[in-house]
Amino acid sequence: MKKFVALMLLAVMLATSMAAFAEPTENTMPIVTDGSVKLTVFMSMESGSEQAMATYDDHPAIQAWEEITGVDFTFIHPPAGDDGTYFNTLVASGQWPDIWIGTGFTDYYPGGVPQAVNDGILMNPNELVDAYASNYMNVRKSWDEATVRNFTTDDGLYRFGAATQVPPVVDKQHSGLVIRKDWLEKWGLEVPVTIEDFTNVLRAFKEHGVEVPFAGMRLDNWMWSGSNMLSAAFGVMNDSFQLNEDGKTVTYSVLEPGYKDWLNLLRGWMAEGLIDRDMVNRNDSDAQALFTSGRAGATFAGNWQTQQMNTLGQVSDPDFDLIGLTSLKPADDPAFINEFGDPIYNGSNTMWWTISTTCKYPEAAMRALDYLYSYDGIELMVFGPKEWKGEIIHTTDETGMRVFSDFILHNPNVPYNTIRYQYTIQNLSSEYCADMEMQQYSAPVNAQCWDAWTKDLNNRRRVPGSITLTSDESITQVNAMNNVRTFIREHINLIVCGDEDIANWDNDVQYVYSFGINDVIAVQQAAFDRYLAR
Amino acid sequence: MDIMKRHKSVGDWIADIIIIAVMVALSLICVYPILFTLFASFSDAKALLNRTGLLFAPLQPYTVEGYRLAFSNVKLSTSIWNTVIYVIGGTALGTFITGMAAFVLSRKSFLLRGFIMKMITVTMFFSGGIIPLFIIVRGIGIYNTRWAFLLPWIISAYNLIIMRTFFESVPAALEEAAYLDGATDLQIFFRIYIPLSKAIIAVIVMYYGVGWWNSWYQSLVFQPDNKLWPLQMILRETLISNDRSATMDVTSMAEESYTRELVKYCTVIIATVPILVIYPFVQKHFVKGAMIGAVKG
Amino acid sequence: MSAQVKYRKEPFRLRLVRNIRQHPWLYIMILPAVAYFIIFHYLPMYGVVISFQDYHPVRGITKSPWVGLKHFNNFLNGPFFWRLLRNTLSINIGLLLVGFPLPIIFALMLNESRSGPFKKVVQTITYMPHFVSSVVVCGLMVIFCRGDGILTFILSKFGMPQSNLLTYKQYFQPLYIAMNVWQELGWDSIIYFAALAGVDASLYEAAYVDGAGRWRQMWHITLPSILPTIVILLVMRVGNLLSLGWDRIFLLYNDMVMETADVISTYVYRTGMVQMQYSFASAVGLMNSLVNVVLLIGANALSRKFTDSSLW
Repeated sequence: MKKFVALMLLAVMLATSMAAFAEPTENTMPIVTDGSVKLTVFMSMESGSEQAMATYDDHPAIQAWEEITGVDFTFIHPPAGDDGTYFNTLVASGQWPDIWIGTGFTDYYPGGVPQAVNDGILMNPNELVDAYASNYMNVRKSWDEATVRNFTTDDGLYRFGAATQVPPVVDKQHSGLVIRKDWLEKWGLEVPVTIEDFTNVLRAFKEHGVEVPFAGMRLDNWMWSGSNMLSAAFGVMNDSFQLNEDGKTVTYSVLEPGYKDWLNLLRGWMAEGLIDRDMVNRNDSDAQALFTSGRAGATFAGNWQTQQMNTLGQVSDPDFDLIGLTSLKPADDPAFINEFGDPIYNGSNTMWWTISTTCKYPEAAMRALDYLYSYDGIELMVFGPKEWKGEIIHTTDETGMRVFSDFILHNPNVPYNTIRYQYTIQNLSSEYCADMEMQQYSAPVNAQCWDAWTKDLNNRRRVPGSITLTSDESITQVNAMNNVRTFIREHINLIVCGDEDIANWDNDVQYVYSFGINDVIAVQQAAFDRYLAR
Repeated sequence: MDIMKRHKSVGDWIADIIIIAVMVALSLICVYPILFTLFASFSDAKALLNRTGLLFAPLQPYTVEGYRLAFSNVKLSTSIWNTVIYVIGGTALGTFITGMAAFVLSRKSFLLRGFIMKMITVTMFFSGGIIPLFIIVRGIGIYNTRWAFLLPWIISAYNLIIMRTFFESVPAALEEAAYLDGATDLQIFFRIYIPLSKAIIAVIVMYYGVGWWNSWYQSLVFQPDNKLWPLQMILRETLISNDRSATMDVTSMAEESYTRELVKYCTVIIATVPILVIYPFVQKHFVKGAMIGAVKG
Repeated sequence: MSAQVKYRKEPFRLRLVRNIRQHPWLYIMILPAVAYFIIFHYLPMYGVVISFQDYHPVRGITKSPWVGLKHFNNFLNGPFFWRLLRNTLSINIGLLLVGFPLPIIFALMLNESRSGPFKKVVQTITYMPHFVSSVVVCGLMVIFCRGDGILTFILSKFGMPQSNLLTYKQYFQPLYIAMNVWQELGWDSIIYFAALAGVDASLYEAAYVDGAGRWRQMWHITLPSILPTIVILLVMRVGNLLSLGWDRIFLLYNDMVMETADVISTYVYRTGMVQMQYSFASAVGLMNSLVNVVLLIGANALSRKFTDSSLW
C-alpha cells in the first residue's frame, strides 16, 4: 500500500515538475479554474478574528486568496489554550490536513519538522519549493549568507513559512518590562536602573496602596525568558539552556549558581507582597489586564501591545502612561549588559508552512502558499483585501505606502487591533511588511520601549532558536526534560512562594542531575556546534 | 410515619432542632455558590472587580452587558445546538439499546446470559486506554463526525446493570399469559415491560442526560472540527484556559479587562440554568426510579 | 425448560442453536449492545500491546519495535512513582472516608425529619449541584479560590491565608474532596433514601411498643436494613480506589501543588496526550487497571465473607 502511494506520488511529481519547467519564473494564477482542488489547512486563529468568525473559511483574506488561486480551502483550528493534545492526536490520527501552518511540529513533535519529514508525515519542502515556489526562491536568492543559514535546518531543509523581517523591526528587543510612568512621577520616584532600585520602586507602590506592585505571570510564561530583564542581573535565564561567558559552552540555567540568587530575589518579593501567589496560574494577558486596570504598577509586555495598553489603561485612569525599562543591572556593575536578550534578527521566527504526504494536490498547495510570497500575496495577508463588501480596507497613499482605511484605523465600533485581524492573517504573512511595521509602531511609546529595551542588551549567551536536533537527540531530550521540567517548575514555584526552604535548592539541583540533565546538555551542545558549523 | 407523632420528649425536640439547623445550613452551602454567580452575572463589571467578600444582591448599576458579551461569542450558539443534539440523541439511543440489552439479560431463557453479563462487568474495571480506542474510532470511519462523540460512550455498563436488576424484579406471572398467547420476546418487551418501567426509564434517561451534558473530552481527541464541539468545550476555553478572545466583544475591547470576569459568571449561568430549571419538574420521576434501581445496585 | 434437558447435557452448540430458534428476538435485541462492547471495549484492549512497544503513530502497532517491560520499569523506578501512588490513594481514601459516610448520615438525619415538604425542599436543593458540569464546578472553584475569591475570603476568617488557596499543597486535597462532596452529597444519598423507604414500618411499630427511643430505632432497625446497600456501594468504591478521573484535577491543579495533586491519571494524560509517549502512558494505565481489578476482587471477597452481599 505504502509503495503504491509512493509510486503515485512520484508519478504526480513527475507530471507536475514538467509543468514547472514550462513556467520557471512566475506562478500564473489561478492554479485551478474548476474548483476541483480542495485543501484542508490546520492553523490556530488569531484572537482578533476568533470572536468574529468560527473558522477562517469566513475570513475575507482567505476568501480573496481562494478566489485568486482557485483553490478551495477548509480550515481546522485547535481549541484556545491547547496544550498540544489536540495537535498530537491530529498527528496520531493519520487523517492529516493537507497543509499545516504554525509551530506545532517544532513545539510538540520530537525532532520537529525534519523528523516529521523523515517519518513520512510531511513532504520534503525543498523538492516542492524548488519545483513550484518561484516567488519564494526569488526572495531567497536576495538574502545574504547569514540569513540563508537562518532559514535552513541542519539537514538543509528550507524553513518555508518562516517570515522575513524588515528594517523597522530587525535588531530590536520586542518585549520587556513596562512600568507606570505617571505613578513614578506622581510619587516622586526615579526610573529604576538596578535591581535594588526596582525593588524599592515596587515597595513604594505597595506603600501607596497598589494591590500587586508587580503583575507576574506563570514562571514558565515566555515573557520572563523573552527578555530576561530581571534574571540577567544574576547571570541566568529563566529556566532555559544558555551559553557560558565564552559564548560557546551550553549549560542549563537552573544549574548555575546565580539561579539561587534569582529565586531568592523573587522569594523576597513574594514575602513582601510585591508579587502575589495568583501569578502561579496567571498568563501574560491576565497580568497585563491587572496592569491596565490600575491594580498593578509594572509587568512584562510586548511592543505590539504597548500602544493598546495605554489606551486600555486610560479608560480607568486618564493619566495612565507606561514606559519601558532597560534591563536591570546588578548594583555594583554600571557597565552591565544583558546578554540573554532576544533582539529580533532575520529568520528568528519558528513558523513553518508544511504539506502532508497525504495531500493529493501538493503542487496546487505549494503554488497557493507560494503566492503569499509575492508582492500581492504579502499585501493580502498583511493589509487584507483592498475592498470588502463595499468597505475600503486599505489604500496606497501619495508616497506609495500602503495604509489602512479609516474603516480599520478609526472604526467607531471596533478597536483597530481587533478589526485588523478580521481582515488580515499574521500567520500567513511571509514578511513583516515594512509599510505595516512603520504604522504599527508609530506611537511615541513604541519608540521609547524599543530604545529602552534594546539598550545594553544582546543575545550573545542565548542558544539560538534555530538549532535543530536529530530524532535520537530529541528523544533523549524529551525523556529527560519531561521529568526535569515537572520537577523544576514545581520547586522553583515552591521556593518563590516560600513554601520550600531556600536551603533545599542545592538538593533540588542534585535531583535535576539525577534525571540525566547532563545528557541533554550534551545534546544541546552538539546541536549548537552543528549550528556554528553550518 | 405517624407512629412518631405520638408524643415528643425533650430529646426529640433537641434532635429536631439540630436536624433542621444542619439541613438548612447544608442547603445554603449547596445553593449559595450558584446564587453568588447569579448575582455576580448581573453586577457592574468594575464594581465586581474591586470587591471581595459575599454578595447578597447584584452590585449596582445592574447590567445585562455580560450576557450580551457572552452571546456575542459566535461559537457559543453552535455549541449549544451541538449539546442539544448530543444530549437528546445520545440519551435516546443509549437508553433504547440499554433497555433492550437489560431486558434480554434479565431473561432466564437466554442461554448466554451469564457469559455476556461477565463480559460487560469486566469493561467497568478494565480498559485498553484512549490510544487504542482512537485507532478504532479512526478505523470505523467516524473520526471527526458527531458519531465520534456519541458512539464510543453510548452505553454505560452501570446503567445497564441497574436496569437489568429492575427487570428481574418484574413478576413472571405478568408475562406468562402473553407467552401462552404466542407473543414474541420483542412484543413482551414493548407491551409489558416498557409500560411497567417508566420510572426506571426516567432514571436512566436522567443518568445518560447528565452524562452527555458533562462530556467534552472526546471532542478534544476525536473531533478536530470546532463546529462539532459541545458547550462544555467552549466553557472550558472561557473558564479554564482563560481564553481572551472567547470573552472579548467586538465593540468594547477597551472594557475587556473588566468584563472578562463578568462574562465568566454569565457563561456559567447560561450553561447551568437550563438544566436547573428543568430539573425540579422531572425530579419526582428519577428519584422514584433511582429507588427502584438502587436497592440492589 | 424441562428438567430432562438439563440432565442430558447436550453439547453447548446444539443448545445454543435451539435457544436461538426458540428466542430469536433476544439475540437480535442484544446485538447492538454486544457489538458496542466488542468494538469499543474489547477491540481496544488488544491495543494494550503498545505498552510493550515503542509505539509510533505513523508506524502503527504492526511496525513499532518491541521493548518488553521497559516502560513498566521506567515508571516503577521513575522519580514520581511513589508520589503518584500516594496521591491517588490518599485522595481516593479521603473521598471514601468523607464522601462515603456523609450521604448516609445525611439520609438518616433527613429521614428523621417529620415535615414532608421540608424534606422535599432540602432534597431538591442538595441534589442540584450534581447537575452542574465538572467544567463549571472546577471553573468556579478556581475563581472562588483566587486571592480575591469568595471562598478565600470566607476561609480567611477561619485562619487560612488570604491568597490563592489552590497554590498551597496542604490545602489542595481537602479542597478537592470538599468540592466533590459539595457536588455529590445529595445525589449519593438518593440510594439510601430509596433503601430507607423500603424499611418495613411494622418493625418501628414493634420497637416503639418495646420502648426503644429514636436513637435505638435508628441503630437497631434502620442501619441494619440499609447495610446491604452500603456494603455493595463500598465494594464498588474500593474497586475504583486507584482510578480517579483526571479531568477535574487537571482543571484545578498547578505547578505549586504537584506534590499533593498529581495523580496517576493526570500523569498518564500528560505523558500520553501532551508529550506523545503513548507506550509509556499505556503501560501506566494498564498497571492501574490491573491493580483496580485486584482491589475489587479483594473487596468483594471480604464483603462476601463478612456480610452476605456480593457483586457477583
